[in-house]
Parts: sequence; C-alpha cells; structure tokens
Amino acid sequence: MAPAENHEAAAVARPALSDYLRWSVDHKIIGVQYGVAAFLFFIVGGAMAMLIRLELWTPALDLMVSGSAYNSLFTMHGTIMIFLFIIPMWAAFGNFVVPLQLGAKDMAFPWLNAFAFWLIPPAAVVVLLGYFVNPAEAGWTAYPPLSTLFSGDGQTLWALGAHLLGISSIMGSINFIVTILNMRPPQMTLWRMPLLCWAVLATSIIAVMATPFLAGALTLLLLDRVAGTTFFDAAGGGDVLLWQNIFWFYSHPAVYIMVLPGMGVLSEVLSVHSRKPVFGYRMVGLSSMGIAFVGFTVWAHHMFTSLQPELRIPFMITTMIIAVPTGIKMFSWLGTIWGGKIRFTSAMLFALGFMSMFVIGGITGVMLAALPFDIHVHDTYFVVSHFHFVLFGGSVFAIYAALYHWFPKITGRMMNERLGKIHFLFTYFGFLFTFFPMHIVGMLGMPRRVAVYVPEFQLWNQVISFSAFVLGFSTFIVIYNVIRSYYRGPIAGANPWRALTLEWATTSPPPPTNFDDDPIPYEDPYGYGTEAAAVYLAVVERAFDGDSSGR
Amino acid sequence: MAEATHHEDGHHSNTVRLLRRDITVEGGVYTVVFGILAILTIIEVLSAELLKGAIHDMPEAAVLLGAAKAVILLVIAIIKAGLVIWFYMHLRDENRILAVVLLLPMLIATLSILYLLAIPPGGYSV
Amino acid sequence: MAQVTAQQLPSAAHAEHEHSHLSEEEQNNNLKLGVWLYLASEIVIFSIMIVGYVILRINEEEVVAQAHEQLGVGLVTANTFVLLASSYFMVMGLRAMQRGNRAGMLRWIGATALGGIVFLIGQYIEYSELSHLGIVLGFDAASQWSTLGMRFYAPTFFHGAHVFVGVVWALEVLRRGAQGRYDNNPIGIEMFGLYWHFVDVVWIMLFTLIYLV
Repeated sequence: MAPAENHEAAAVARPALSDYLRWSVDHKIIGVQYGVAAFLFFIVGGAMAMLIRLELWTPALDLMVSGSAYNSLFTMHGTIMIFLFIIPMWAAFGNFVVPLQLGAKDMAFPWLNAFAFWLIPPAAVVVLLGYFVNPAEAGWTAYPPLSTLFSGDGQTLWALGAHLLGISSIMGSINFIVTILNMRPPQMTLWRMPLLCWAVLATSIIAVMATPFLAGALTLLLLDRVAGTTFFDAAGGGDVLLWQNIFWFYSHPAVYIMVLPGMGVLSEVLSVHSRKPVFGYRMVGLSSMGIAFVGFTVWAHHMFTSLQPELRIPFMITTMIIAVPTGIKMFSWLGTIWGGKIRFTSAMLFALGFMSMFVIGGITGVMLAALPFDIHVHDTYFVVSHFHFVLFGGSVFAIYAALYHWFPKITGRMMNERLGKIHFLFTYFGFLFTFFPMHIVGMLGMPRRVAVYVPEFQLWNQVISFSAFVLGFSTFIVIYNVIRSYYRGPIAGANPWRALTLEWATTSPPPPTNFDDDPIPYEDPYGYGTEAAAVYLAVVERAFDGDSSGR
Repeated sequence: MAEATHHEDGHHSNTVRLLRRDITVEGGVYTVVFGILAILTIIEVLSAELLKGAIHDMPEAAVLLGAAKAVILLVIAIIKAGLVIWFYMHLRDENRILAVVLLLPMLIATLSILYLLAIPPGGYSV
Repeated sequence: MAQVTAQQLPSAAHAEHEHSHLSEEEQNNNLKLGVWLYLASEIVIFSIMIVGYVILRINEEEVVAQAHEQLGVGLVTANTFVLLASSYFMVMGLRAMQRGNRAGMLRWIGATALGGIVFLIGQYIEYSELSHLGIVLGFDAASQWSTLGMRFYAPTFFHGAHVFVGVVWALEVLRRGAQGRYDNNPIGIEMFGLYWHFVDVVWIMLFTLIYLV
C-alpha cells in the first residue's frame, strides 16, 4: 500500500495490540481475544490432526511409540477443536458482532464477559497439561470404563479443564441471552433482529440448559476417578450407560451450539453479498429456535448400538425430524441467492462452500439416523467423515466466512481478496479430498480411533493424508492474509459491503461506546434492492466516510 | 392459598386475605407463607411416618401404599417449592419471561430424569 | 452521552464505561434475568445429582429403608425448619431494606446467615453419624450399604456446598449493607435472596426425595 494510505490509517483509532493482552471489559476487545485464542488452539489441534494423518500414511504403527500415544492424540485433537476452538470462536464473533448488530453499547454484563474469557487460558493449561503428564486416552467423549479405569491422571485434568470451560460457556451464554433480550434499543424489535442474533440467542439457550448436564456428568466422573465412587462402574453397582446418556444430553445439543451461529453467519453473508433479502426471514429465526428445542430429544442416536431396542425407533424419528428446521435454513439460503447479484468475495465463497459441504454432512446425518445403516457403519470412518463435514465443512467454513466478512469492521482494513480466494481453493479442495474418501473407507469397514488398518485401505489413506496436508497448509495462507491485512490492507470505511445491519452504521473499528446515541435500525435488516435501502446506505456513507472514500 | 390484598404498598402490607379472612401479622404475606410452609412440612413428615408404619403393618399392600406415599409427598414438596418460588422469589410480580427461564430447564431435567430412571439396573441385555 | 469520535478516544478509555449507559432499572432487570438464568442451569446440575440417588431408591429399596430406620427423621426435620426459617428471614430482610429500614435488614440477613451456619452444623453431625454407621463415599463391596454412600453424599454435599457459598455471600451482603450500599437500590440483596431461596427450594426437594419417600 502507498505510504499515504498508511498515514491515513493512523487516524483510525484502533486498540493497540497490547490492549488485547490485558483485562478489558469492552466486548469488541474481548471478541478479538476470544478469536485469537481460539485460532491458536485451532493451530494446535490442527497440528495434532496432521500427526494423526502422518501415522495413518502406512497401515502399521510406525510414527507413534504405542497405540496409547495415538489414543491420546485423537482425544486431544477432538477436545481442543470442540471445547477450545469452535465454541470459543463463536463466542468471539458473538461478542464482537451481536451487541453492534443490536445497537447496544456493550454486553449486559461486561465484567462477567471478561471473566468468562479469562477462564479459558487456565482451563486450556489444565487440559493441555494433562496431555504432557499422563494423557487422557478415552476420546473426547470420555466413555467409561475407558475414562475411569484405563486412562491416566491426564483424564482427571481433562475433566477439570472441561468443567472450567463449561462454566465459562454458561457465563458467556447467560450474558448473550440477557443482552439480546434486554439491551436492544426501542426500535430494535425481536422481529427486526438480524438472524445472527437469533442464532446466538438459540445457541445460548441451548448452552445454558445443556452445559450443566456436562458439568454434572464431569463431577460424577471426577468423583469416580478420585474419590472411589462407582457411578459409572457396573462392578460397583453403577451404570456405564449413565455417562453415555448424560454426556449426550449435553453433547448432542452442543453440536448445535457449534453450528447454529454458523447458520446465522450464512444468512448474513449470503444476503449481503447477493444483494437480496433473506428468503423467509421469520421461518429462519424460528427454525433456530426449533433446532434448539428438538436438539434436546435426539441424543440417543449416538447410542444406537448400546440403547434398549424399543427406544431406537423413537430416536430415529426425532433425529429425522430435526432435519426439517435445518432443511428450512438450507432452502432459505438457496432462495436468498437465487436471482441475486452475487459478488464472489472470499466471504461469499466460504458461505457457498458451507452450503455445499453442509448438505453432504446433513444428508449423511439423515443416513446415520436410519438405524439399520447406522448399525452397519457405527464407529467407522463414515461417522468421522459425517461430523467433519458438519463441523469443518459447516462450522469452520462459516468461521472463515465470518472472518472475511467482519474483518474490515474489526480492524478497519480489508482482507486481501486474492489471497482469500487462494485460501478458499486450498481449503475447499483440501477438505473435500480429505473427508469425502472417508465415506468410502468407512463403508468398506475401516474402524475409527485405531492406529493400524488392513493394507487394502492404504491407497485411500494416502489420498486422505495428502489432502489433509493441503488443508493444513491452507491455514498458513489465512494467517498470512490476516497479519498482512491488519497492517497493510486497504482502509475499509464504515460499510464496505454496503450492508444494512447496524454493525455497519458506525466507524470501523467502532469507538468504545459503539454508537453515540441509540441507533435506529433500518426497518428490514435484509431489505436490499429497494430505493429506500439505497437512500439509507447513502446516509450511512455520508455520516461516517465523508472524506475517506478509499476502499 | 394466601392472597395479598393489594393495598397501596403492595406486598409490604401486613394484612393478608386467607380463606376469606383478613389476617394481620408483621411481615404480611411472607409470614403467612412461612406458616403454611411449616405446617406442610409437619404434615409431610407425619404422613411419611404414618405410611411407613402402614406399609410395615400391611406388607400385602406395600406396593400400593409405597406409590401413594411417593405421590403424596412429592405433591406436598412441589407445593412448598412453588410457594417459595411464587412468593419469596417474587415470581408472581415478575416478567413472565422468568417463568419460562424456570420452566424450561425443569421440563428438560424432568424428561431426562424420567428417561434415566427407565434404565433397568445392570443395563440392557440386547 | 457525550459526542465522542473514534479519534478522540485513547485506548485506555475502554476501562470504565460499563455502568455509564444503563439506567438503574435496566441494570436491575439485567441482573435479575442473569441470576434466574444461572439458577436455571443449577436446576439441571442438581437433577443429575438427584437422579443418581433415585436410581438407588428404586432399585435397592431395602438398603434405603434400613438407612432411614437407623437415622430417623428428627435431626433432618429440625434442619429443614432451620433452612425454611432462614429463607423467611431472607425475604423479611429484603422487605425491611425496601422499606428503608437498614438496621432491620441487617438483623434479618444476619439471622439468615446464622440459619445457614446452623444448617451446616446439623449436616456435619448427620454426616458423622452416618460415618459411624459405616456409610462412606467410596464404593465398599464388603459393606451392606454398598453404593448408598456415594448416591447420598453427592447431592447432599453439593447442596451443602451451595449453603456454604450462600453463608459467605450473606456475610458479604451484611458488610456492604452496613456501609449503606443498598440504601437506594437493594438489587444486591434481591440477587442474593434469589440464590438463597433457590437453595431452599432444592432442599425442599432433596428432603422429600432422600429422607421421606
């Protein structure tokens, strides 16, 4: 960039980097803190995934010293990605964007917000410390008796750390619910709320109601491990299935904690970048709530092989029902971009990537809901493929879409679009060729969570591993892009995407109090393509970007 | 049940209308509710002891009496909990959203408790 | 709100803006909703603890009946009355403060804290009686009580821990109350009250489910 532009950038007051390392109660600072911390964990968890794929390059056990080492590796990979990456990453975007979209000046409880974030580093230290002493080996699901009788002290630390992360998540969610319900300015009615806010509200309700199940289960697990109780030990009058049930009471809803905000992001990004109103706005908002509630009734489909037979069919049915609100969203997205003036920005590309991948993940989800099929592929790579399509193809693609979409608001500078597109291509194809072949090896019977496999699968596994390395490499592109754009990206201006939601009706980055007065939202958060919307956007542009037309 | 007469100072009134009678007592509705809670607790303990004796004397009706005991005691407990929530936690004059906040986890927890209780001891034999 | 632009605000200004833009009533409503949501999550945790006991109650009726026989209901009934009374003191304390009677509030909340302490002492006596009977937390295959200990101690101790936290909170409320911090806005007392009544409600359920049914 030209030096003149750099000079201009100095006028944009953005927090100093050192502000991000300190205790702060500003939701925008906390949002970035969450985001950067979560991304660091993403790198750690990703490196573990690379090691897993390296081990699986050959059928034998060669890289790892023992099967135990492999066990602890995938245990940590899952734990980090779920508890330390995806969930905090949504807290990051929720924190930064939701109060701005509502027109609020901060979260309802700024201090609690900061506290919830600062619980994460010590919790992460506890979890990771376990990995280095005597690691947990029971997978992120920590089924007893693996987690009680056969796992090292690291499992105790794992449970403690997960407990802390759960507490942090409950605090954050309480904050979101109160903020969304109570902190809206008078004109921001519930049915004018952007869909990301609806999604975060639904997510937070799930988190407050479901996370305590995890806390309860972890408490009992800790007692079993350290106090000699036998809640989960059949030999001592306990019940192994009790853990599976309570764990999935939490963890199935938690799947929606991880993907609902992504669905909210999709509605934002697709609408803005195709200049079309969201198709079926109310139904999309309600479907988030629908997912939240139906999500509590499907947990036992994780236990089809250990469930009493007469309950299998009811859970199969509820699981298929939950595909309906998800389908509503999918059709809403298709209807939104249909006939729109699509701009293939990096954010839009990742959003479209989400749609294609999530459809695959959703369809394999319905396949797995079908009991006879599930029994056949239970605990194979088919399942691994399914949830990576949902959690990577879904959540991570949405996280990238959100990053490209809101980076200008967060930093005041645009991301580099060309690098963004390269990043997208590497991620998209790396992802596709990593996880799609897993369907095939899974159908052929390759079990998950085992370091050795029969030699017939070697070619497939080498394809998978090679693609996984490509996928891993793509992360470096986005890291480079973020750092470069932070310093040298073009100045964004208040509203580079010409969006109608309120976060764009303030400077980039926004001042500490966000808005001078209660802002008045445009009558329809997605009313693109009308004369009135154009007038509104012109007003916003004049108000904030008067002299700096550069973007 | 107790009903506060809504005088000018609302729940701070010392006069409560209970069973068509005005009762004036320091603390008003709060004191009356405490009295009801205490009486219910005594009834609860007494009926538990009586039914336990009855079960002991009539082992042939043990299942029926046991079920009756559980139902009676749980109903009394729920009434007591409800009184505390309604009057002491002021749910009666709060925004209805708080009732939703309370009922939602109760619903979810009740469903999951019922589900967990249905698991036979020692798990299933498939 | 003063007209500020991004340029004028140094980063240090982020520190103290949290209370400036909400009215007292808005703040109070937020705090109340926040506490209710927190209590909602507690309901779920307690339900997990309770279900562990109820499973035993259904499956091992004899063991539970024997334990009830040995223990009696005298002590625990007295303890229940103490906790119920402390809940009543609590709400009377809030009422006193709402009427502007700070001294009365301090007396009532002091009684509340005392009730909590007496309850904890009662629980301690009960636990030591139980341990004399050989009912311990860990699983003991040789003992007739088998898993009774863990299924009983987990929920009651978890509740006792909540009472302990409540006592500490009550003392903090007393300290702040004595400084006159609640004279104009008793929301701090009300929040503690919600917590304390909730702990009482949990005990009402535990008392019935564990000691009576």
